Amino acid sequence: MQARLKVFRFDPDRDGTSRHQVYQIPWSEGLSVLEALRYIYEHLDGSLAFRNYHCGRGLCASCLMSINGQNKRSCHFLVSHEEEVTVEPASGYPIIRDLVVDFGIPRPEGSVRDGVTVHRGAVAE
Amino acid sequence: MYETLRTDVLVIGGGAAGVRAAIAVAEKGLSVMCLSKAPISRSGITPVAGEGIEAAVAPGDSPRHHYEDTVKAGRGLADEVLVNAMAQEATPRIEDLLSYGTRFKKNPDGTLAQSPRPGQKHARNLFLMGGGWGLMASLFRKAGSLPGLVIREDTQVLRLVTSGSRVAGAVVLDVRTGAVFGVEAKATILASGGYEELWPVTDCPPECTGEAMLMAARLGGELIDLEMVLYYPTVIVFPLAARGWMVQYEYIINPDILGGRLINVHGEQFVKGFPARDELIMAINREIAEGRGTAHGGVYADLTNSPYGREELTRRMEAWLNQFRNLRQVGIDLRDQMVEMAPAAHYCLGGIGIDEYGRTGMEGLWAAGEVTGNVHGANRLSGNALTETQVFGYRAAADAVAWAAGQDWPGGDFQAGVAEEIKNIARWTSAREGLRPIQLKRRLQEIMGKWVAFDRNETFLKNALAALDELEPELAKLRVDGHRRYCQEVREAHEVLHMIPLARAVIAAGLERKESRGHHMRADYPGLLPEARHTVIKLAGGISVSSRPVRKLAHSGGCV
Repeated sequence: MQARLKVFRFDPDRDGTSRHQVYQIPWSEGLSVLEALRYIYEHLDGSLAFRNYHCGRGLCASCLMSINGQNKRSCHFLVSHEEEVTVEPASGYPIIRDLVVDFGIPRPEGSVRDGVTVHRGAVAE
Repeated sequence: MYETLRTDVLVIGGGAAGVRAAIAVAEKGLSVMCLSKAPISRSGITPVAGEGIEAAVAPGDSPRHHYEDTVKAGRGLADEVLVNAMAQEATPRIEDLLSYGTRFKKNPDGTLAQSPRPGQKHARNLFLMGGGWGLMASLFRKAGSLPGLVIREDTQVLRLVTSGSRVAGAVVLDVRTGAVFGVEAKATILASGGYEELWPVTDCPPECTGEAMLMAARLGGELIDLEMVLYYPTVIVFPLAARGWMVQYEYIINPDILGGRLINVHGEQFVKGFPARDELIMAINREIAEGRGTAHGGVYADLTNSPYGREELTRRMEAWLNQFRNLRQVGIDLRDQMVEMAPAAHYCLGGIGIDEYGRTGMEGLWAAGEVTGNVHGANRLSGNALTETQVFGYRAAADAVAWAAGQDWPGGDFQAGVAEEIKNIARWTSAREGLRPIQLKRRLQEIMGKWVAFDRNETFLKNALAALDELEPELAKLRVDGHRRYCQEVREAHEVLHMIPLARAVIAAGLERKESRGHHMRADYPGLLPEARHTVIKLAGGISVSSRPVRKLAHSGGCV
């Protein structure tokens, strides 16, 4: 089975306007958008820019992207083999290239950050 | 002319040690630039660290107990002078964190709460709200409030620059723009973390590649006990959606917390009590080696039979296990299913040798945090890694500031350094054919995973060297994508260029240590030698391997 990802591409130095590029990759149970992007980068297209340096498990939020129009952590968003996934840079931040944005200064825990409430790890007071 | 910036102190690394050091420099009124490979509080190991940080603040506990527990856990290899400094200053550094707004779990009476870990006489792990991320975010906020503290994210150190025998700063790549520039500094503090990415299975993020540490060693620093890589016993290997996630066994198997168990493929519980990390790894390793491992090479963590009812277990999981919620997001529910776990590279005990002031022996260069090599010894207690970042980040900064205040600008040939690095990048981007850095990294990791994991012997280690002999010439064939903006492949080429020689140094240290101690387990030398000695690798002017005794506290009374 295959997964289809429609991925935002834009280099402000080179491109007048952005475009979307479609990638097809092998699908397996539990495939996250982040893992899919890693697969694309490693096996299909080394020019695709996303934040390769990430924790991969929902703690660091480096992998925040707009997925099907909503800001999500891509390590936690699973790809379906039935529907194409649209992956774009996280909205609300300046774009560096492709899916990489400048997050700027983080806000305190407990605030609403990146469209999700900041709630990390074990919280029991 | 290429751009060269000036800062009194340059800090390489944006994790807990680096940012703590930068705060201490700025508070003394000197200018400081902190370089981070990726956005601070979203990168490095600190944000993914567990919530434990050790400090003897509880009634009945004391720095002396902290010292004794840490030395004992180090299996004879912990530098007692460094451990003493850490135990003495853990509490003042926690007080600093409280003043920055770092939040800790508290008892009903408002005092800081502790949880127990193996190897502690008293429960000593303070509980950081939000885990390592909570610590990092509060350090970052504090750093952001200080004038004179400049943070540069998405940067990569390409080389250290010297002036005579003095470290004078660095040549840096701005990954966001592709620009290469110099940073001249009176003092440089290395806080660049570990090198877990040499291995295929690690619970650390992929930027932990060790190149800055190798650069320092090439200029004259000593690499101490590089063979000592702390494996965390329980990192998920299956299901794949959570591969590389650590889940704290200290909570899973604690009957007072979650009441779970670790079992082999036959459903047998193979450990009793509350084993330390190295002890549990040996036990898991034995199950796997003797054919009682799971399909994906691990053992099962089982919480499905917890004596706590579902409602109470849920409450406890949410309170204690920071991965519970995240695992559910990717479709894994620890209440209903067992997961397969195996040891994975978690923390580099070895690294650059320091003294109690964070000095590296090189003029102008200090180091703090995981990049250093002689603090914990052959095994580390849970919670001491974050304590180390705060104590030695502060100590290195205080000493560097005192020294830098009386120094002139060092000079150094930044122009030639930048020009050479630009030439390297042009060679990689203009190559039409060749190998991508990620391909070389994967080949390196395969070698290290096969021959230099936690089950070692001379044949394995020599096989690894032979495989590296074949791999190393391939570095001449590097080719990378030509985008200047967010030039990830350029940085990865630079990393792998250093990772292969670093792997050689790790193996050389592993061959030198002909014994099994802590996290270095040699099947061909299963016993302990009577005297614990540090392995010492020097790289300036070719690799040399030696050993030296471990520093003991001068008087036998122990911790002062």
